[in-house]
Amino acid sequence: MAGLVLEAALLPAFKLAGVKADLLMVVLSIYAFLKGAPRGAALGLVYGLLEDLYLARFVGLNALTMMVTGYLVGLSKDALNRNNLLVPGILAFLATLGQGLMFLLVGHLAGFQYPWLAGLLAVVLPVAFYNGCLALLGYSFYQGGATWVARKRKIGSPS
Amino acid sequence: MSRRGRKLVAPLLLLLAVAGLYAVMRWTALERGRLSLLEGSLRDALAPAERGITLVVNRAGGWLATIKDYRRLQAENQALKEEVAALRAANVQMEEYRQENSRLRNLLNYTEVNRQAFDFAVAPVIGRNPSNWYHTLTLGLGSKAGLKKDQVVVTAQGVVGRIIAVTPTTAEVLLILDRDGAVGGMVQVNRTPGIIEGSPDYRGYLQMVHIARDAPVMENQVVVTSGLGGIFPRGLLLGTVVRVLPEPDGLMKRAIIEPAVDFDRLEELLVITRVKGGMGDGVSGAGTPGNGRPGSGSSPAAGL
Repeated sequence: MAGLVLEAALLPAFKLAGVKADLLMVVLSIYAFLKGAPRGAALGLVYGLLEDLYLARFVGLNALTMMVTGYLVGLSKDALNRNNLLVPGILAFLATLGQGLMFLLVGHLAGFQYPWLAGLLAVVLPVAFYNGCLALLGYSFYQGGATWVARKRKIGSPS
Repeated sequence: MSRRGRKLVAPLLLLLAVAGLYAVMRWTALERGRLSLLEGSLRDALAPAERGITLVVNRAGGWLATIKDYRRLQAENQALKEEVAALRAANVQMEEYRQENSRLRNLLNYTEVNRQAFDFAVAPVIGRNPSNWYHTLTLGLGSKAGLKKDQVVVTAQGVVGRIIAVTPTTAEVLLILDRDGAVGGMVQVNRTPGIIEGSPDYRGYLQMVHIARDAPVMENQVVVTSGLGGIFPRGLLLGTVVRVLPEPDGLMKRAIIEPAVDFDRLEELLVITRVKGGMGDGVSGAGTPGNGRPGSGSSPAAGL
């Protein structure tokens, strides 16, 4: 919910190449990567549905595409090294790319006629790149915070 | 010397000393241009020491005063810091009020100029669409304030869009940048009509599509609403043509239009609640085209 409000109120001020970052996709990518496919799909469904209800257009389009994206990203949980900071960045880039293409495809079936090439070049690719960078940054902070908490607990626990 | 004589020496010496000292006293009481050698030497000899001691005493006095006043100074410092912070906040607030005043003054001027043609309601923008696919924004007024679906939203610069959904306290505005927000438009100077919609490849720009190849559409021409379609009144400013491109089929062409409105900087908008008529071209800021700065997307003018 906070992510959605942030996206609506704050992120338009931080447009790059004419697009806003998709915070929900960034969070979904990292969450699915850490928690696995079922939880990734569940969060994708919730996030997507929330966004659809907020936008009140083609309700279900984001829910479907984000659910599938969360599931697919979650499959990488055990296959990729979670200590590698680059992984979430690359995953977020690919996840946004995939979700964008699915959005265009399913959108066309549902009646959302956005030109394919323009959609891919002017929206999907810039957002994917933006999200990839944010995920890289966000995951670095997350890892740093997790390491700090672990160290604090170790110091605090009786030997 | 007799015993009596010796007894007189001391008082005599004393008397002489008193007289001598009195004479010196009288002599030195007068203003003198030069001191005696003894006085001057003594003064010169003592001057550095005096200077050092005075310095130390002054410094120590200052330090002592500082120590003595430490608590008071600390409290004063804290109070001053708070005052500076409060003044800074007030300054920021004043700047906000100043800018808001300037924006509202512009809107007021616009409403005064167009009083014959429209009734307006001023609505604040409270949110923008979080998606990159749709171009909408949310106003902080809704049906309670008399806003309805399909009412047109403008600024002093030009057309923003139309209301597509209302709740009692909010209204959703579909921007003319949206693919579904197409508007009937025309080139003001030669009345060439066309459909104006958001450009999918030049993000942040509009495009007039399906223009006949030989139509006299050129760069720097102003584009206004045509009034066709029944929602947007005629003559509202849309933007300025910045590029004309051939369509892939080679038979038609399209014009890329820089919107008059800067869609990323909208804070208060005017909703046209009633059209009275009497609207002509050239109203609605047509004299100031190109105020919108879509620059965040790819610029069609870049290659010119």
